[in-house]
Amino acid sequence: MNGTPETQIFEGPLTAARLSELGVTESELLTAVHAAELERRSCSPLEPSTAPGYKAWAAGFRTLAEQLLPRGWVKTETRGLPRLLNPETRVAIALVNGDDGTGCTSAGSGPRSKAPRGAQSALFVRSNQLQLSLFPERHEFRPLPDDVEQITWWLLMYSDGVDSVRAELSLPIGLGEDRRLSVWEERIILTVASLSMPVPRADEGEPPIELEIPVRARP
Amino acid sequence: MGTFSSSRLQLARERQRLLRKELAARCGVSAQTVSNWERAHTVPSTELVARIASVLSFPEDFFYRDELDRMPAGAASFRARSRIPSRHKHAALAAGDLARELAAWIEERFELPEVRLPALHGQGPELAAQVLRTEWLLGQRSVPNMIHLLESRGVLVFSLAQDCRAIDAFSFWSGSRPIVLLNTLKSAERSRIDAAHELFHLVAHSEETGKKEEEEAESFAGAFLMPADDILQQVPPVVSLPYFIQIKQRWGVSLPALVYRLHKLSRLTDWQYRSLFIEISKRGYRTSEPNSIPRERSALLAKVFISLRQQGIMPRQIANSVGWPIAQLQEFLFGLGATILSLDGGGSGASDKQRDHLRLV
Repeated sequence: MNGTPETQIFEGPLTAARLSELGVTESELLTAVHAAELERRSCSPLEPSTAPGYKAWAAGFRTLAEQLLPRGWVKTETRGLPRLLNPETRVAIALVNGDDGTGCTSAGSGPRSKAPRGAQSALFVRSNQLQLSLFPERHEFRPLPDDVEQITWWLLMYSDGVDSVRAELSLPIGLGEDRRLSVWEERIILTVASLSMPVPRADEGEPPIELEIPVRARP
Repeated sequence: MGTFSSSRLQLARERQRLLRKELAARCGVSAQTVSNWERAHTVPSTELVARIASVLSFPEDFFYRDELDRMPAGAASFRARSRIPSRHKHAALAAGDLARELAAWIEERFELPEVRLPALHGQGPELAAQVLRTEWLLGQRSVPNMIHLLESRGVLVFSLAQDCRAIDAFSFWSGSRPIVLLNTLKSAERSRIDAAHELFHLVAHSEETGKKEEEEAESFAGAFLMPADDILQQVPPVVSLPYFIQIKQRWGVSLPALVYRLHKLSRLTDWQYRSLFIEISKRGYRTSEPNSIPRERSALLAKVFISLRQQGIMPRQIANSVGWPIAQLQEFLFGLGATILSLDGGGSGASDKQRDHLRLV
């Protein structure tokens, strides 16, 4: 599904180093993912069926923006597609809901955006592809030649609505025939803490604290 | 029958949150007359005592008992005292005086746990919490039940009468017996924090408390209920409200209290703290606690009232013996025990409505 066998995958201990080259931390991305998930879960069944996806996307974007803007990133919006841009590294990040391949690295798997993308996404993806073919030494982002535009990464978020939330920050260089993001140059897998993590019982394994409260009627 | 007690008149009036002139109007006398009664310059006629008793909902007998040493205004630690209307403050202090009477009544009949509270004056809240945890062999473990913990150390815990909503809790010493009044209408989590807050006043403050002491007590409550090592170890690297909602049960604290404590321990950045708080407010969790714990009950009072029942002494007789209306006794026990105050055998005075109500306590 990921189409390009040479997709480079960063996960586990490699994730943090790769993200730091892009100027963002895993914690910042995960905070946005969690805010998105919280928003998704708070949607009422009485809302339109597109509300959870849309509101999660909007909340995730806002939460990421709130964290990155104080550090010099800027919000830009081109024809309805908002992105966060690091003017220094020229890394741009957009958000999108992914399918259940998001965050999975088993053979043959790869994420797709949940919905077909519009014209502006297609342009950014095309631009990614062009720039990476012009500058194959792409993994050294700093400093970029002045005439290079931004490289747009997508933060993909997936939730099964129960307890599994997965996310990755990935660099697409092509759309599938269904116009979904599906061809990846790089994928950086994030480790999302389970939202239904079992809570350890209070003082597991230790005897309960005995409190003596002696009360005796006086003769 | 003894002589009319001026101090008891004042107490009952303040307890019912009436001004002198309001009581006067209802008794058909002047405010000056009421003032004279309360200063023991004059004594009301028997007819007027009956009228007073009916207006204030206390039995006439109450006003002919021994004079009381009223608790001085500074004897109780009030939270956010400036925000509390003085009428409420007086009502709460009056409740404190009544609680002292009830405590004395119980102590005459029962041997209670020995008072074992260390003096920790002048210690910072964080250190005091650690010292207390060490001395009480709690280590880094969660406190299972704050009311039981206080009771095991000789503290008497009563419910703060229901009409004192503006007040979370307060505490004072009645002779050598520490007493805490808890507002049991607050959430179970809030009550645990209030109980720990009052514990700090009892071990660390002897004078009237101000803003600084209140802040210290609140910090202590956080540190005591959420020991730093345990909370830092349990909280995951990722900040998420749903996770906090699950894990807060470990410490039995409210969501805002957990978030506040994590920020204080620098585990949350200012930004995370702010956005979590906005989220908490937005979702209404400040007023309605998600994933809440069951209310803590009193073990000591349960033992006392069960023992009294076994001796054939029912709540109504207890109220008579203290000289109170039964409603007063109910208020002090409200929310502290499901069974201790069922009115079986309490006499015919309790209406069906009251009975239903009491089963819910």
